[in-house]
Amino acid sequence: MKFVAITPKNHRTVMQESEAELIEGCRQNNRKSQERLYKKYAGLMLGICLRYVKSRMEAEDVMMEGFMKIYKLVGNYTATGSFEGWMKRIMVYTAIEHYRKIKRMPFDEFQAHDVQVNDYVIDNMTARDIIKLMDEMPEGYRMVLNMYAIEGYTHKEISEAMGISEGTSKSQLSRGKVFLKNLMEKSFLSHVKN
Amino acid sequence: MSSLKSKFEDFKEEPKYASWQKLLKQLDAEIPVQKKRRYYFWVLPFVFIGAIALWLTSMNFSAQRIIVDTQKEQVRFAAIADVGEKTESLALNELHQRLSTVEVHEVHPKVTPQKVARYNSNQTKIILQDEEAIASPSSPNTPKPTTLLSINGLTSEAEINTGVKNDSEEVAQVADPNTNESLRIDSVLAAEAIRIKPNEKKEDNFELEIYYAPGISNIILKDPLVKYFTPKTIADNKNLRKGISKIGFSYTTGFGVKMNVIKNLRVKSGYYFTQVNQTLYYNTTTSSCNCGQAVSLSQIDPNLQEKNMSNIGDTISVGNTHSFNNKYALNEIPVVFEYAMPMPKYKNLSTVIHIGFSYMFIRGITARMPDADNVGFVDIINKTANVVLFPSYKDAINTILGYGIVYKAKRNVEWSLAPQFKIAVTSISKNSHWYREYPWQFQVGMGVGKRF
Repeated sequence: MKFVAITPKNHRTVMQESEAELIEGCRQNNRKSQERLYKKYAGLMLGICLRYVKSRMEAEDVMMEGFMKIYKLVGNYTATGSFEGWMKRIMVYTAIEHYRKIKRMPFDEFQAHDVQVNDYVIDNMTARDIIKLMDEMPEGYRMVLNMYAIEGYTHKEISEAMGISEGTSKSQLSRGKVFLKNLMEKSFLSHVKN
Repeated sequence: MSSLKSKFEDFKEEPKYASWQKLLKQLDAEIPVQKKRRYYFWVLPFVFIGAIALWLTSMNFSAQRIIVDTQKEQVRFAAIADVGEKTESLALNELHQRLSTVEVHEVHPKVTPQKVARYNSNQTKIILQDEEAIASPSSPNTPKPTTLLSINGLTSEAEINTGVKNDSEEVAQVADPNTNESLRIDSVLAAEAIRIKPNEKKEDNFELEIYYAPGISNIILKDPLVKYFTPKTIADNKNLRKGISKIGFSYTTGFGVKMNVIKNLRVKSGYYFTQVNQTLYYNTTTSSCNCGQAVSLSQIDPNLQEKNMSNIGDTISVGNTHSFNNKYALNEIPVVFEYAMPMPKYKNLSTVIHIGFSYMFIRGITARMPDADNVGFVDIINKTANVVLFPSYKDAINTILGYGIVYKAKRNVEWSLAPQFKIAVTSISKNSHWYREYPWQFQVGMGVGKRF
């Protein structure tokens, strides 16, 4: 089982004064601070949620739910890591929770070889384009790909969070990569043709 | 795929459908804005004590006034007792007694020492003359005792009965038996000059006490609330909890201020520092170690890693035993009622019952708790002595019950010895914690106090 180490003091993020005040205000359930926090981070958080769910409306619902959790749990934040990182983590878990609630598509075991997507293709696409392509992916692929390739979670953590085995997580990632690669290349080619 | 990650690093998308107003509605429904009561709660014991102090002070003042007024009235009544309701000798005796028990204690600004001396001198002379007159009544023509007749200036019956003139000038005239000169005595001024002679020393209402109480302690671990736990984990923890916690040593020290409420009943408040120790004895042989089940902190609660906690010792293998000393440093504001029962056989000893509560808040913790997966422990370490770093803990209420003795060493110095039991009635840990924790302590309280 993996150790989760205490964040060392020398890694502690020094927060800007304004952010510290914002957090303190949210701890005190101050509506003004909560609003400022929302306005400051809503864009970034929605960007995360969009990668995990299919529609924009659904993503915004997840984001709202995530913000509610942040306001409820902000008292537990201890400034040992970055506040933004802490919020992102909550947002990702909220998206996973949302996924687990609906669970539209069952996971299946599939072993595939590691697939590399050409960086040139990725470089010529915007984040919005990639999200559009991701919407076409099966949910299982998308979730695991997001968590592993973008958020940097390990298969162990993904398996714990999603309630699947590590093997399933690995297979979903492999399939997801193949799927996304194909989508990207297809999109790139059509773009070049046009 | 690393370029995919960098693509999304600063990706932002402004919401279209979600708005702050929508979220605000949700917030108002789920987390309504409340006034923080915590600080008011702190003030409560002090307000309570202050109110009682004020009440007691005013009560004493009133009582003193009543006694003084009664004395004044008695003197006045004795002085005008010739209205026939009392026999002359009785009135004279009464007057004599009254005057012997009063003294000029405090002088009204308008009363000069000469006036007072003359007043007292005249009173004495009058009394002596009256005694003589009563002792040897000669004839009906013999003038009545001066005390009884020479007070003039009171016209109506009401004025005679009260000794106070309606126009409030309150002038009484006393005929000097030697010179037959009429002396004007302001009864008000004279009365103001009279104060009760303190036959008994005043009772001390307050006591400042230094307190120390060594003893034993433990923390009762109750089931966690299910907010962040899977049922499986809770069940495992429940088994592990059995017998894991052993008694440790504790102590409380601080100072208290006691105040009389009514006879034999006092209320005490002040500040105490308490350290509760607990030993965790972890035996993976006897506990239901579900070592195969892997549960990380992030699975229990994604925020736990931000809570200055870590799970350690997951390499602890089945068959080993480990023990840890947990230390909980607590601040306490007590409000305790002490009812004293004097012991007739021993003049300076009383038995005392202590009943009350204390408001308890975390000062620091160095502790370990069993991990949620029953493999290893989780550290809850006081790193910077900052209370914010104990997010899983909260303030709690203790109840206090004790029974002991008080020894009055000197008139204003007391020693006390009282075994007492304290137990938290609300948990010091929040819902998101592994267990609900209720500290208890059995201590022998020792105090020395000075009354003032």
